[in-house]
Parts: sequence; C-alpha cells; structure tokens
Amino acid sequence: MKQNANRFTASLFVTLIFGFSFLFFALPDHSFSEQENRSLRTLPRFGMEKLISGEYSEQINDYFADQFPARDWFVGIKGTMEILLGKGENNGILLGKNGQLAQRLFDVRRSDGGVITDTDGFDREAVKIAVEGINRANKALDVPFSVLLTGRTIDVTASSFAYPAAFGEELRAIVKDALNPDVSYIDTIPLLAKKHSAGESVYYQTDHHWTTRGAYYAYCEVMRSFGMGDAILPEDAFDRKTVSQAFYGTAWSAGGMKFVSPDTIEFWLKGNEDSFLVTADGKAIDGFYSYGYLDQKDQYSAFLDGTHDVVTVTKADGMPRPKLLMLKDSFANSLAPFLAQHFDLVLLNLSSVRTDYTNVSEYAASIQADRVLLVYTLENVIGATKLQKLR
Amino acid sequence: VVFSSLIFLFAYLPLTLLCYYIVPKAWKNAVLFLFSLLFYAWGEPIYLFLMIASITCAYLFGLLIERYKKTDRKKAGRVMIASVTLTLSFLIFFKYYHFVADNLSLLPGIGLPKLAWLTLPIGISFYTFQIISYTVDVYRDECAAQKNYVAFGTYVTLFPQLIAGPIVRYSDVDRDLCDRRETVMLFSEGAVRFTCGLAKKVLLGDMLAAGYEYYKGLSLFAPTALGAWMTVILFSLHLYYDFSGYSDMAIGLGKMFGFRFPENFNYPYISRSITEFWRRWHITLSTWFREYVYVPLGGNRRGKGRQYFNLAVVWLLTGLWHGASWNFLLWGIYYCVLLIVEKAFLFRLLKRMPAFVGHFYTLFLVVIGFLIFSYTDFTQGINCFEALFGIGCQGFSHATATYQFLRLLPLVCIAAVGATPLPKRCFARLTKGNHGILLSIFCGIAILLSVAYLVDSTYSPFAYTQF
Repeated sequence: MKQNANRFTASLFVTLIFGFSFLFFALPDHSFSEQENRSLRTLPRFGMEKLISGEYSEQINDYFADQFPARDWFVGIKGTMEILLGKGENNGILLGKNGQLAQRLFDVRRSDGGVITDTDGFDREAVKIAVEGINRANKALDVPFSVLLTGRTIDVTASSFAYPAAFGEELRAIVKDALNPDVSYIDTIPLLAKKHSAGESVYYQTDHHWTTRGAYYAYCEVMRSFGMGDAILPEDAFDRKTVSQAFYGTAWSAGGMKFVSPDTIEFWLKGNEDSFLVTADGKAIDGFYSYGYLDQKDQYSAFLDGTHDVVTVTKADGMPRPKLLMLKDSFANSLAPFLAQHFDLVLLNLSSVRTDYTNVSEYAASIQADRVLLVYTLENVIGATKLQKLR
Repeated sequence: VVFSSLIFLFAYLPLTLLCYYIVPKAWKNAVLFLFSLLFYAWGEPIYLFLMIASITCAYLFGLLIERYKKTDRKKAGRVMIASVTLTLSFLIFFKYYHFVADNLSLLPGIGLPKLAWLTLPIGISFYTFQIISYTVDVYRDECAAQKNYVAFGTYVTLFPQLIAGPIVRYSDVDRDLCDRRETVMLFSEGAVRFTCGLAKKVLLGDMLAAGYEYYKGLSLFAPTALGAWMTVILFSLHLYYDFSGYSDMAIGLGKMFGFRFPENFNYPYISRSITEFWRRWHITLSTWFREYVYVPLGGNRRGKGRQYFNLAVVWLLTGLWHGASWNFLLWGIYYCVLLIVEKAFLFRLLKRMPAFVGHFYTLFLVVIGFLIFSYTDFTQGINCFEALFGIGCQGFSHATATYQFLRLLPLVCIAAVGATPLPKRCFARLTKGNHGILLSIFCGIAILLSVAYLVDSTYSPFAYTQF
C-alpha cells in the first residue's frame, strides 16, 4: 500500500515535470501576445559574450516564461486565485463594482532622483518640482496657456472601489496649491467622477483612458475655459457610433482577471471628418480614426493612429484657423477630434523618448501658436521626468 | 538559475534526472558534477573558474593532510591551516573588498583601488564553508580524504545546496557520496519535499515579499506605526518562507538523487527564547560555527569569561557572514548580547514563566533583529524603528495603510499558521497516516499553482543568494 502510494507520487511528479517540458519544446513559439499587447521573447541567439555577461541566461529565462504552454491560462489562474484569496486585486489592478478595473500601484519618482516601484504614495517635493515646470512654461509663453491634468482611472472611478481616495485627493490638492494662480487650470476630475457615479461610462472599465464620452465632457470644459462656451457642439451634433464591443484594455491585460467583460468603443462622428487633413510624423494618415486597430488588441490606438511624436490637423482646403498647440500624452488622442472642429492642431508627444519637446515656449513661437494646452495624466505628474523640464 | 524558475523546473531538472538515472552507477557522480557546474555557470560563468580553483586546492591539500597526519601531526596541522587560509582568503577578498575599501577611503590618506568589476560570486559563502568543513574533518580524523576528484567536486558543487545551503558537513555525506541507493520511496519523499518548498517560496514567500516592498516604499512617503509593523513582520515571514522553502527544495532534490542532507529549519517562530530560536533557524550555519569556531576556541570549557568572548567571536562572524555591511555586523552584535544575557540568567527565568511570555519575547526581538537585518541604510532603519512606536510618523495608521493591511491579513494569517507545526499535524490526523494518494494530489495542485504564479511573475530571484 505504502509502496504503491510512493510510486504514484513519484510518477505524478515525473509526469508533470517531463510533460510540460515536452509540451514546451513540441509546441511552436509565438512572437506576439495579443492578450498582453507585447512582443514575446523568442529563442535568443547564442553568443559567448552574452553568456559571460549573463545576458544570455536572462533572455532564456524570459523566453521560457513567455513561451510557456498555456501561458494565458496560467496567468488567468493566478488572477482568479488572488481574487479568491480576498485580495480584491491582482498585479496592482483593483477589481471594483460592475467589473471596473483600475490601476492603483505606480512607479513614482522621488525628488532625489530615485524611483519607488509599485506604490500608491507619491513624493510631495517631486510633485512640486514637476508643477514648477508648468509655472515656468506659463511665464515663458506669450500666448494663453491652459493645463488639463487628466485623472487616473482610480481618481475618476473611486466610487466603484473600497480603496481609500485619500492619497489621490492629497495629490490633486498639492498640484492645485503649487500651480501659479495665473495658470489656467482645467480640473475635469470632479465632473467626470460625478458622471461616473451617476452610471455614465466616462472611463473605460478595462483600460486606463477616458472613453469618447469622457473626452467629450473634457472638451466642453476646455472650451469653457477658453471662453468659447458658446461654440461648444452639443452631444446630438454627433453620430455616436459603436465601433467595437470587444476592447480589452491595459488594465485587463495586467490584471489577469479573465472573467471581466470587455469595453465598447464609440466614435463620435460629426460628418465632416473628410474635410480634415491629419498628418503624423510628417505623413498623411487616415484621418482621426484608424479602423485597422479595431481588429487588434490595442484598440485605443484607433484614435489618431496611436503614438506619434508630432500630429497635425488642418482643414483639407487649407483655410487657416486659430492654431492650438497641444503638449500631450495619449489621453489627448480622443480629445483632439473635438477640438479640431475649432482649431488647427499641432500635437506634441511630451512623453516621447525620441524627441524632447520640453522647450514649449520656443516651439510655440516657431509655429506661431495662438494657444497652448497641456494634456497630461496625473500618473505622469508623479512618475515621469518631463514636466520639471518645461520652459 | 534558481529552483523556482520555469527553466529549472522544466528544462534543467528533467534533463538532469534523465541523464542521472540512465547512466551506470559509476558515472552518476560525474553526471551530477557536470550538471552542477552547468547550473553554476548559468548564472555566474566567470566565477566558475574561481570555484574550480577552490575545489582543486582543497582536494590537493586534503590528500596532503591525509598523508602527513599519520606520520607528522604538526605538519598536517600546518597544511590544514594553509588550506583553510587560502579558501578563506578567496571569500574575504571577493566578499569584503568593497566594504573594506569603502570604509578605509573615509580615512584621510588611505585609498584602495575601486575594482568596479568585482562582484560577489554566487554561493561563495556556502561552498567556502563546505570546503573548510572537509579540510578540518579530514585533519580531525572524522573522515578519510576523498581520493576521487569527481566525488569531491560533487560534494562541493552539488547543485541542490550549492548556492543557498543547507551547509552540508563533509562527514555527513561522506558515505552517500560513494555508496548511495536511490529508491522509489526516497524519490517520492524528495518530490513531496521539493513541492512543499516550491509552494512555500512561490505562493507565500514571493507574495509576502511584495507586501513588504509595498510597505517599505509607502513608509518613505507616508510612514505610520501600522506600516512599520507590517514592514518588519512581512519581512520576517518572507525571509522564513523564502529561505526555508529553498532549504526544503534542496533537501527534496537531494533525496531524488539519493542524498540525505541535514535539516536547516525547525519551526523557528515557535521558539520561547533566542537560544531556542537559533537552534531552529538556519541550523546548519549555527552547527558549522559551533563545530569549527566555537568549540575549537574552547567553547564553554574555559570559564564564563572565555565563553562570552567565544560567543562574541562567533556572532561577529555570523553577522559578517550574512553580508559585507555595518547593519549585518550590528545584527550579529545584537544576537551576541541577547544570547549572553540569556546564558547569564534570562534563559532560566524564561523557563519558569508562562509559555506566552517566552513566545512574545522571542518574536518581538527576532522581528526587531530582522529590522536591523533588512535596512542597509541606517537612517531608514532608524526611521522604521521609531515608527514602530509611533515616533516621527503620521499616527497609528491612515486609510491607505489600513486598506492594505486588511487586504494582506488573510495572507499573513495563513503564513503565520503555516510557520507552526499545526498544518502538518492536522493533515496527519485528518488522513490517519494513510495519506499517500491525497498527498500526491495536493502536490500536483501545488505544482500547477506555483507554475501559474511563476508564469505570471516571469521570474523572481531568491532573497538569500546574495549572502
């Protein structure tokens, strides 16, 4: 009896170890993970130098994890386990009411230059230094400058979570306090938070961006702060078209909670979309919306063709309009189509790793911008290094 | 390579097992030796040569000692000392050079070259101690010198214990090295033990580590008393699960290849005194220091004063062994003082107290000890210590610290209960000893869950391999 049990244990162990090993080597490799929206590590090329530096073994380790049989299934098992353990979150992604997901842990920059990974705190001094950059740019610019710091999902959808909002509130208070009074600050967070509580979908449930409806409300706020409230296009001026019902965003990928259902994406079409010329990094693109992305995982990239350094919007017939320079991150991509109804746009990707756009006053002068608008996420205020360099 | 990596579990391990079990008996050590070198080279290709040099020297010195010890004991002693000095000098140079150079550079007029290329070779603290135990055991006639280079190399490099112990004394495995029998029973015991260790490390250790990192980061922005307690408690639990899990895996792997390694942990957190704690925590290290430092210095046979001096030497070395940094030295002194106080009177006093007093006393001091252990930055360590008692922080707690506390509470409770013999006892009573099949199924599930966590985290290095 005892001997049989031992045989069973030993063979189960051997079967599992050898079974997965066999599957790993027998199954073909994948070069891309749809679910995680990233390239997977493929078999690294061997090199003596790489072996000695330890790089080769690191790459092989990544290769093993990335190509492991049933990888997506295992990731889902882990996500489900964490929820069953009562943690209410996985990999720093909170699970809230109605399947709302929100990232709560971020990488935070410290004022001494260090970085704390995966924290929900923030360094007060570093935040003040970042805001000082905004004040500096405001002083250096001789055209009106407006600042829209977009909320993180957790700031706007706080009512869906048991997670305390104290840190987010403190962060926003510090930012407001540190901004010079003559900076035109557009605070969309209270309005969007109210809309969210009322059941409107203003931020995606599975992604960190605002929805087109959220972007529309932000557009109204921006117009009002420009003193152009009368020109705001009403909701029913747009044909609100659902273009995707299967959008699994960044929070869904990171959270590994497979049971959460996908988002829908709307395009709000005015009907005059063909009359604009949109260029990205110097080349004309399909207009505001690149439908091709809707068949892929990264569907938010359908707005303004995803990430580019410079995007411009003008009227196709060349008729000049007031020029708005937007210094921005990806939130601006779904906001820009609304503003393009009133302005010629130049969008600069402030987070670009290729080009540094922090000298905003010089750039604004060189393109003779009539206005400058900063659209930047609070996540970047606490984590990125760009704001503090603005001038 | 660490054991809790997918490449170890599903490439290295099956390949090693396969080769080991198909070759004839005479080649088995050679297979283990080669695969162990491969295991080491995987993470540390350059320092492989350092390790081979250490092994070769110790091997040759061992033969010399063997030759002299029958004719000229004195000469044998000198050879033994030469061998130990040489082996130790490798450890001292590679482990403490930066520490010594950095601190000397604070003095005016003294400057040692920086040597930026110098990094700590993985496992050097562990294999150096094994080599020393061999040399001394041969000299003391506790075993004969190993004439077979491959067998000796296998002893030092044996991959289950190579990079984080247990520290196996040569005399413990002398017989197993050349004459061991692999059986189904030993293999299945080993598989269960290995799986337990894997689950301890991956399912609990890594999760506790994440909680610890979180609170440590949070305390830099918004320190609270609760946060400070969580930092030190999570670190203490994490270190236990990480390290004892690793030892379980090592012992389990050893059994799969027919070796019986000594135990390294015996529920340290149920101790009722610091003396008892050190009989249950990292047992093979304490044993090593007792056998090769404390007893040779005279132990407790030369009066109280000498005994305290010997203890001080042992604990300064134990502290430094854990890392080249002042906080480890302080940690050693801390335990030295506690153990001397217990020896003087407290141990007898504690024995007469109710059990809970001893438990509370021990856990509190151990947790404070790990606070010293975990902060190489003194200022941060002192801030954390003060925060434990509500000094210099934002009160007892704030909403975010409380939220995280409630979220981690189930994990901490599971980990705390798991650090006692209770789960094992319950399992034994539940199944009334007839637990073969059920145990196997648990193991299968544990492996699958561990794989799920590993695939998700991609890779998580061991905490204890830096020492």
